[in-house]
Amino acid sequence: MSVKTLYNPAGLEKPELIDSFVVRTKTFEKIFSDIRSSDMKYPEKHYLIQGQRGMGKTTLLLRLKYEIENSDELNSWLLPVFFGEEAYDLTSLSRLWEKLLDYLDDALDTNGEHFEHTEDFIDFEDYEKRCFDYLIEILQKNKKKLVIFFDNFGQLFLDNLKEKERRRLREILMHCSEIRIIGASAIVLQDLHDYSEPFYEFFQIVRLEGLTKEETFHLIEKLQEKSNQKINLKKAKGKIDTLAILTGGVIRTLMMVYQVLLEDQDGSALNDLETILDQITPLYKSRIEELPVQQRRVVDVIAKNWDAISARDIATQIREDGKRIQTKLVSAHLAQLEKNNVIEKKQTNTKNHLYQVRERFFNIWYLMRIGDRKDRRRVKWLTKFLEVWYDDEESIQTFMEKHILRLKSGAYNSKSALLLVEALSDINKINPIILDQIMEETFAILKDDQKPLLNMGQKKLALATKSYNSGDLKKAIYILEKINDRLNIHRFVLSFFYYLDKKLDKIRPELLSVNGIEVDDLGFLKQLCFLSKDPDLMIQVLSNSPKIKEGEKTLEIGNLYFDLELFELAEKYFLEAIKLGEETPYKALSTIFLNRKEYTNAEEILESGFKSGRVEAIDLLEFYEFEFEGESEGKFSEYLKHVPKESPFYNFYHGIKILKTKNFESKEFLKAEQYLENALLDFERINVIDVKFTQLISYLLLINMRVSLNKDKLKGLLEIFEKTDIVPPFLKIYGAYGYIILGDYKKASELIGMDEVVYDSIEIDGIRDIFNDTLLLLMSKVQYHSVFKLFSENEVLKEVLKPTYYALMTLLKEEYPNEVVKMGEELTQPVNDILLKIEEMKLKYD
Amino acid sequence: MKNSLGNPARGEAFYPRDSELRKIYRVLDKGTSIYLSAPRRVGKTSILKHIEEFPQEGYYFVYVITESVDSEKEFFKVIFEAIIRSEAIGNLSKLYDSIKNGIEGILGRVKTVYHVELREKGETDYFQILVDLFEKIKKEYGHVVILIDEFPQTIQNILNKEGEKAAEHFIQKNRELRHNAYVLDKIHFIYTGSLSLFPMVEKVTELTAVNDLRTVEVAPLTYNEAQDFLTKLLEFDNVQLEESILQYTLDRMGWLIPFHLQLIAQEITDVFETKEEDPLTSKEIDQAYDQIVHLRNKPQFEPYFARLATLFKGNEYAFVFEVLEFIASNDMITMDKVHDFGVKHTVEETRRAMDILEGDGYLFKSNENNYRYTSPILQMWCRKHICK
Repeated sequence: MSVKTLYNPAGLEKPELIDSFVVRTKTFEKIFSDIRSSDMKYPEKHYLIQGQRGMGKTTLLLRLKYEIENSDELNSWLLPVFFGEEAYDLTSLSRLWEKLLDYLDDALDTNGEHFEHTEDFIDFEDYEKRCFDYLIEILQKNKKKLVIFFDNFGQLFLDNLKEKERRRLREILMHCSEIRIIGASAIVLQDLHDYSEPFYEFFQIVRLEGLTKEETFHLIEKLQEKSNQKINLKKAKGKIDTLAILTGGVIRTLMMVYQVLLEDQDGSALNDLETILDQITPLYKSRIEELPVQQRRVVDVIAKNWDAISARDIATQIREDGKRIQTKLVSAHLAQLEKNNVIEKKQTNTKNHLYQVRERFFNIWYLMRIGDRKDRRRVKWLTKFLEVWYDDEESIQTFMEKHILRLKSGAYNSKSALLLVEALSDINKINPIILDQIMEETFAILKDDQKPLLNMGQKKLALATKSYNSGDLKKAIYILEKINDRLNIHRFVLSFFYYLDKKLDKIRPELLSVNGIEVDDLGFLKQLCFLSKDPDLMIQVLSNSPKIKEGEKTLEIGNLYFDLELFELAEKYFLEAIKLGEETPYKALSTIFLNRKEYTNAEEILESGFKSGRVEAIDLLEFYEFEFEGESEGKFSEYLKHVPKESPFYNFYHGIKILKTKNFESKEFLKAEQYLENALLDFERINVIDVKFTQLISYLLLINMRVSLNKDKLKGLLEIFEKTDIVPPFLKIYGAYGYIILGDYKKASELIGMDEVVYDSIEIDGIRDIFNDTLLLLMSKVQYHSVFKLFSENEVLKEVLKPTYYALMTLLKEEYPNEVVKMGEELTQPVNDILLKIEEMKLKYD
Repeated sequence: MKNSLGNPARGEAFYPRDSELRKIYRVLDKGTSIYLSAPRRVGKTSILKHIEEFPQEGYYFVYVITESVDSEKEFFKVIFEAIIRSEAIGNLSKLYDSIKNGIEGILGRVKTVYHVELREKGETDYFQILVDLFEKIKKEYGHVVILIDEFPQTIQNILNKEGEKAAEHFIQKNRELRHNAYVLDKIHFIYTGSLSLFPMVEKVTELTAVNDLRTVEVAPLTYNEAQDFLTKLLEFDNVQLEESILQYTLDRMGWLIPFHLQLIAQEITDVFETKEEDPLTSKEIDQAYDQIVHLRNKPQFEPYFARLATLFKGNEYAFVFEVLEFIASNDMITMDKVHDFGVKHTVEETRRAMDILEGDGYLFKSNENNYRYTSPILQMWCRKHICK
């Protein structure tokens, strides 16, 4: 079987398909035994077989159909019908009945009679219904039942139906015992199929998952029967296991990889693969284009990585308007993509799960077809498979030697040779000398326009890097030194290797041979000169670099001096760079000023940096210390001594005295409550309704809510509160506080949402504090959105109650992930304090 | 007993719901029409199909599903056709004759009653035809009961297609039919459907339009019934559970509706088939339980959540989902949190939504301050596949 025929199982002859059906046998048996044991007296269970492309759905459907045809006990009454990819005209329910009648004409040898009968129904409003009723009549008359095998059931048929037709089909499938459906449906990338319709609920879904290791082994065993390249299967068990994992157990991908790794004599398997990729491109491309832009970028990173990757690593590779995308955001996209079956999560022992593209063949396509043709990553998948299969130096060496012979034979496909050498270049344990030989041999068979694609210079560099990575620095240096016309990048890397090899003296001549470096190389050059502590070298190299602007050169030299802590020189170059039009390096300059203890200069430069948007507020804040605020003391106690016991305000002021002088924890507070409750009676007696009453009720509320916490009393106090004439904003806040304790959040929110309350809370320190506490209490009762509403309606509050706002944002961080990150570092502690206070309130007011 | 998961259970696969059947007959005996109410997938259709096929003596049931029907005219036509094609009616010679004569009188040209070919003569008033037909049925023949499945969906269809007026007219017309002098004592109706009837009616008219219906609730299975049912399902696939393991399974299920028991039976069989030796232990039951919420069962669960879109719109819909997701992750929700979500989504009256969720079997009040999922399985599904 060639790679190409992997794509069309319906093209296989019946005996050939049955013979090659070696996996999915359990699923087959299970469904078939259900079919065999069903007499279809009542409506039977319908099936929907789901799986990625290449999982064997079509083959399974065909296998079931053939088994029914071959079974004498079934074929007398059960007629299997197969609708495959070519049934593109099944666009309505009535069309389905027409086709089935047409099919019955064939099966019953009635010469088109039944189909023609539908002519009578034309122009009737209920045409579909009449066709269906007729179809059922024919089936019943002939004592036949139908089982319809529907490939691509969703896309090919169901999606074409109108809403009403679907409801009708549902009614039919639920109650008609003449027809049974066994459909198949591909899960391709975004699985947007809406299972939410009750439509699917009487379908049993059979998911074709990837082959297990055992099944994979069995499949390869079967393929080996007809192969010339026999391998020792027992020995290869471990490799086959890994192959199963890497292909996701997708049959088609497995067989394709098998062909490439073991059967390919002349590069035709890889060449076939290219053809298939081209065929499938429109489908896959449209799938990607359906994804939202950010998700597309996430998929891009994952696909190009081939191996599973963590959300954090994905985040480091995506930038949004010059900012790194947040891991949280990536995770949100990942969750969505996972839900849509585009990617799959690999559980790890840690919290950081890894993600990879679910459909491995799609990943192969992505690598091969998206992005630059020169991108080495495009054969990453092949490298991985080669590494798995040829997992020690000896076996890969044997493979490579064979490959060299095939290349020399002259019959090898040059495009495939190019792919293979790309893939081999990235294999870890590889003999660089043989690889070098393959490169030369491949180069020799390439057509002229293909030669640049091989990119020899880059490959040699990669080879050297590989040697270095595997611990062989000397070999790495040797490989690079061997190149006669070394590129700049070769020289940079070689210089770095000299540094590692402690051959500092070789760096200077090597770098001086560099010519015309690019802006992108500046960083590397600076780093090398830093390592060799040789700023003059940098100046010399740059003097011979006309592609870089003078200002940029000067700035970078300044940076080098700065890194070397030669601040005088650094400043000199910085100032020069500014003159040449470069942007001021604010932070570096302020560090230089601070180093000279010039605080004002340092502050000024940061401030101007702040103004120009280059220095953040937190940098400036590091300069400033805390503010202090004094508190005045009253003569309250002195005057109280003059109040006689009979006075209706005696209780009132004695109560207040305790409030003024003791703190909330004091036991005296309950005594104060007693005084004030008496005062309430006093006030009622002489009908005090002025501001003193307001004061009294507020104190009583305060004590009740903060100290005694008696809900029955509180209820009574709030009833009085409702009738109070003078209710200043602060009292409204107390009232709100009380209502929160009693669970009436709506009332509380109304009170604190009043304009005057918000205004005073913004303007007056003391009121702001109690207002803030009220918000915290609401938050302790999880009324986050009432508080959030308040902040949203009054932007200024966000400023004056910043810690509370950010505490709220911390509590709502899943909902507003972008808000909490705006929080300055200086707020961390206050916000934590507030969160702690909220927790305390939770316990206190439970 | 064969596991008929997903399909309405028919014949041998139907687990007898004696208590529900008794309730239905009790109400019908009194001459009242019924609204059969239950959360989705509790077995309403199975019960209807069962009484149609195995009626008590003296009863004749005609089942009709009107899910795709989207006009009043079509509705009455579908009922009419169902009656004249009904085997139950066909088997009763007196009834058969009177209907046959009736149709001949009404339509003129009829060849046979069963698989009758009907020719429409211009614009036919099927409502009137039905009334005429019912007039011909004599009370002493027996009770004729029309079972109308997915009735609320029909209201929704009409509402979508023709608007509120038409939907209201449709509901009133049904009431008119039930109260027609020829119909009142002889013909009764059982309405049901996976959407709740009352909120649907309230969308277009007053609830008084259906206040003549007696609501009969379909309850979950009792513990003993569930035990018996699960044992029988498993026996079909040659799986046996020890007593203690069976109890363990049912305890984990929480909500013992046949559908969920079919699900767990399917998964237990699946686990059993991959296992080398028996008996199954609680560990394997846990595995089966976890497997229930595998993506492949999506068609079974997703409608639970999708139907909410027809009941709730806009902010209220968002609110309901947030509540369901929250409980899925936190096991329960307090009234405080419900209020908070209400503010978040500017839903003034959170009570209505919470009442529907409770009434439709999603949630129950575990005490006066909080709600939980009725079904731990549904909760697990929501947590795994719906929560962000």
